[in-house]
Amino acid sequence: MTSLEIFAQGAYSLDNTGGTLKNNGTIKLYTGQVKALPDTIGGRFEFLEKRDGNSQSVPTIVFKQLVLKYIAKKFVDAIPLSNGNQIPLTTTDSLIVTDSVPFEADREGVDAKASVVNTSRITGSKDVRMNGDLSPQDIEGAGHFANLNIDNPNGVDIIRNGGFRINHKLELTQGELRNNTDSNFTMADSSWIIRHVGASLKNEPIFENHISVKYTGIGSVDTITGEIPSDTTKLLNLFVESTRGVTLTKNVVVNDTLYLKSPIRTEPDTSRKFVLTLTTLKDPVFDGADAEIDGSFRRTSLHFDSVRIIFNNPYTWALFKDSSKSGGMRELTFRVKPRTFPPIIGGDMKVERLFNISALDGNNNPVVDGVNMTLGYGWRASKTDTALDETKSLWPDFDFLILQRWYNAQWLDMVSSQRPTWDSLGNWAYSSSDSIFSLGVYGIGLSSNGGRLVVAASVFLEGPYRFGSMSEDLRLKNLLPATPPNIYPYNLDQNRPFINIPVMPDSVVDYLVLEFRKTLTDPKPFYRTCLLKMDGSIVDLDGKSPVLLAAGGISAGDYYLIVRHRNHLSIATENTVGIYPRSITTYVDFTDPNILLGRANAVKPIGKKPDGSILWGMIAGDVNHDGVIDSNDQILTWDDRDFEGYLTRDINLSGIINTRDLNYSWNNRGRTTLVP
Amino acid sequence: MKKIFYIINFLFLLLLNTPVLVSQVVDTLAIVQIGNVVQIKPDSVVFDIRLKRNSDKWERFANGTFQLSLSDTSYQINPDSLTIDLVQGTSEFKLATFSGGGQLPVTDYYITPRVFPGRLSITIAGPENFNDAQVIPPPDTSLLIGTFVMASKNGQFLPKDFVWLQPQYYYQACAYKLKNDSLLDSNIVLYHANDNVEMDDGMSNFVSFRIEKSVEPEFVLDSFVVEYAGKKRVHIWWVTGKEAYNKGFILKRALMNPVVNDTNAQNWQTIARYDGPRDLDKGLIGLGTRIPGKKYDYSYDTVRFRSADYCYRLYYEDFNGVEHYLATGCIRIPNAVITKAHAYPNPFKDKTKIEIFLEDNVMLTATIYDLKGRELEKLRDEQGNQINNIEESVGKHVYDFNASEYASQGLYDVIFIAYPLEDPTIEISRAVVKLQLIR
Repeated sequence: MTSLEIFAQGAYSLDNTGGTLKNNGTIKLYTGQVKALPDTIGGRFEFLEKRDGNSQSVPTIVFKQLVLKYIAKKFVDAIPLSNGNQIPLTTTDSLIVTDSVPFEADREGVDAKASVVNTSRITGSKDVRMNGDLSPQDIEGAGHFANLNIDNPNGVDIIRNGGFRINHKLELTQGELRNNTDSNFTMADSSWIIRHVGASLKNEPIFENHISVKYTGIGSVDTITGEIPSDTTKLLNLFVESTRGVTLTKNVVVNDTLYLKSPIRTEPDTSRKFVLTLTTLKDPVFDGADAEIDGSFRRTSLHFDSVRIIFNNPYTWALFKDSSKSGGMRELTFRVKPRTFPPIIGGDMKVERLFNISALDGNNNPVVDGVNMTLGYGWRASKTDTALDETKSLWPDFDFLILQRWYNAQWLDMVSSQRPTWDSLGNWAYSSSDSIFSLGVYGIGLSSNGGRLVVAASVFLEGPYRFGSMSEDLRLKNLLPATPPNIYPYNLDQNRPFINIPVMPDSVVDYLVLEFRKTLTDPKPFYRTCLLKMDGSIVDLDGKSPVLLAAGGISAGDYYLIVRHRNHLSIATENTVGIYPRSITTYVDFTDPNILLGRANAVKPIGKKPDGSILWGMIAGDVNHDGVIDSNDQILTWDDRDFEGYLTRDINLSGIINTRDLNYSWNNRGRTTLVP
Repeated sequence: MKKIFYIINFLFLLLLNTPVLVSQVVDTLAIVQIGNVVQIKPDSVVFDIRLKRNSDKWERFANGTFQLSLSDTSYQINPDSLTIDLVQGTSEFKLATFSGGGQLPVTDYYITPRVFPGRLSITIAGPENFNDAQVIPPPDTSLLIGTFVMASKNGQFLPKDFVWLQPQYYYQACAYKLKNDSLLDSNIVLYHANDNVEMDDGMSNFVSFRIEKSVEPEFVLDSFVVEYAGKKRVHIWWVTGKEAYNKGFILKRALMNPVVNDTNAQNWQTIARYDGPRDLDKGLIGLGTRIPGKKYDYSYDTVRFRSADYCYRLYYEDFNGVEHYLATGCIRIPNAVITKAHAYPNPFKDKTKIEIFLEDNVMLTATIYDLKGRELEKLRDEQGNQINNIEESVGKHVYDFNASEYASQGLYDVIFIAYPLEDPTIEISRAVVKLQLIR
């Protein structure tokens, strides 16, 4: 048969039920429907209904050449094959959509194994997938696609000037979509390009307006091609979901949402460094432990409102209390290089991560100083995954790692660095430091002083003093909590919630808090919770070591030391005490009134030492810790009489409140703390 | 002052951790003693706490905390089921009148007994200044801190053997008031005037907490009276001098056999119990353990027969449900309404008194006859009314009889006829009194 033209009227114009249909020529179906076509039909099959308002369904079988013409709607009808399987509508030679035909691929998609000619409009939610696998395919025509999918390892060429337009989505599943300035296509406004690992777009299409791009698939996308517009205003959303991320090979500007499930690398090699820019106030979304931006990340919409501005990963952020602390900056760029030691002196002794922070003001002049921000910083930390881990040899000193700035040929400690936290599940370590006044190169390491600051001290409390030492009644009764409760003075220590002593060491009397002030009226002192032992020694939470001061919380220097206890009057040193890394630990004897602010007036005699000298102790009875022992303390103690437990009004730390406790606050009536 | 010498070996850990052998004199500064423990009811125990000064190191009491428990550990002390209170007016300390929290006494003492799980706590706050503090008499006398009553909220039987809670340094406290500054060393003041100093310092001074063995209470019955009250009713009353563990009384009655009058052989019937259902029974509820006792009145027991002997026995039941015999009393129920009638003086010259005793309320007629049997007149009552079928109440009645000046010397009969008003077993009762007029 060379040509069969069907004009018949009726429910089915070509009903092959029970028959056999072979075609090597052309079947033209001018009107009506087809029924019971074979699974594969050769030759050329044309659906030519012209009357607007009528429609022709195109069964999901394999055509060699499929032609769809004229104004009446043609649509893909999902009809199972004779074996019951469902396949897309498939063309093995050509798919020709022309002469104003509206072709809807909504019930099922179209697999075009060879040429596609579209001068009309293909709508619907399903893809037209160009998925031939033996040779490259061609595509031509100035028609519209709702969704076009390039899935041919040999690629697809746009020929004869191209000119088609993709209204919703171009999915690059496999192979290259080859376009050029002569034969190109258009991406409609707000459309998406989804690029899988192994696929690419040779050149930029014509971006009608905004475009969004998603990278996906297993592996890494190592070259950015035509999907990213050169016009920096046009990339709306960038989603990186490919399992091993994306390497940028050109600058990328994202104007709405930046979403990462995996890394974005902005520096393909040492000679090419690009910048990823985010122009909106929306923080990037990091949706995976490995999701971060390796390289330079710039944000051009900043806010100065005490809210974090997230940069390269969830733990790297900047915070400005107000615009006066911003140094006039208009844009801020973090260059964060994971697994990279700072390439300067001493850098190899740092955490294997480099931070370089830069900013420009409104006149595009660099901002270096004159800022006051809090800087959050994080790094990969794993004790099992050495390839991932950036802490390296610094693990033993993890608690003492601080932020440091490379300046004037030396590493300067950022003294406000907090003790870092390790997220052992996510393999991240993180911390923050306020009072960052300058931008530049930063690293994470140990203080140039060696990191470890240690102080040893002794003090006696009047309350638990008996029989020549202090009682450990609370410990013996298992009343000492593993975590100091959220009460004064423990709540002064930011690390209180993280203290956990499941088994209280021997001879512990109680917790107390050491306070470090740079001046006597230092508004931002450092607090450290310690343990007090029966012999008066103030020790670390292990119950035996001198108090280790995490360099992240305090820097070496001269400090006034203050002892705070929950129901005794605080005492302070009269002079500063040098807290420096030394071979001999700094020792402060608070039982010696001569070193105390207020001397003997700050403490009281509570007994005698074995040598006959007076033993001085902190004054008991300030249960409301207002610094004055008066009737309020006495009444509070009386009102809690008879109760047992770890109680503030248990002044003698026996575990029960009775008139013994009341008598401490009575006998010390009128005494006040001399600590300002 | 008792001084005991101890050798205390303790580690002085202050600086050197070097064991130091120190000889210490331990002085018992005071004795705190529980005494007079009395189980006044099954669910109530009273006891005294006394403070005795045992040293001249101090003079005035400041404050203290005294905590005790019960030796019977099977009894769970719990505030939900037990109360403890100070018996008002028993403390020899001058007590403040306020109550509740938020304040402490300034010049007086304030005692707060409270129950906590596993313990009873008696806390005493004292005055601020030495001059207001209570002087404790010199040794060998003591001051009563107070009498306390421990009571079950649910009627549970309470044990009464107390123990002081240990360790003493933890649970107990007893402080004295300091008059003058106390020096630790030259120019080093350890305590100031008006400070409170714990008597038990854990080293050289000590307070002895003791429990005095209490004398077992005894039951003393002062009297037990059984008397006829007319109308076959028996009035029973008794007086206790002391009562011990007395839940209440039980009364039993027996009708004496005319032949066998051995009271032990009779069939005793319980006529009343303290725990009986009647209001009358409630009057038999005992005082538990108490001095003094009280008078109990059982009015009345109504018997069945006249001219019979009834005996009554009094028992009390103790907290353990055991009956204890106390006394027996018997009464004969008279067989007439007029049980007594006689005149005095007799013979008489001008007037005489005629006394009768009525066992019941009656309608009474009293007629005077001469020797010849002629009715002369009716006898007159105190108001001058003729006793002629008038109501007269049970009990003794005395009537005057005045012979007229014309009356002849000789014999006269006064015949009383009484119709009981309330006793249907007796139809009529008569009595004749013979009078002899002498002129």
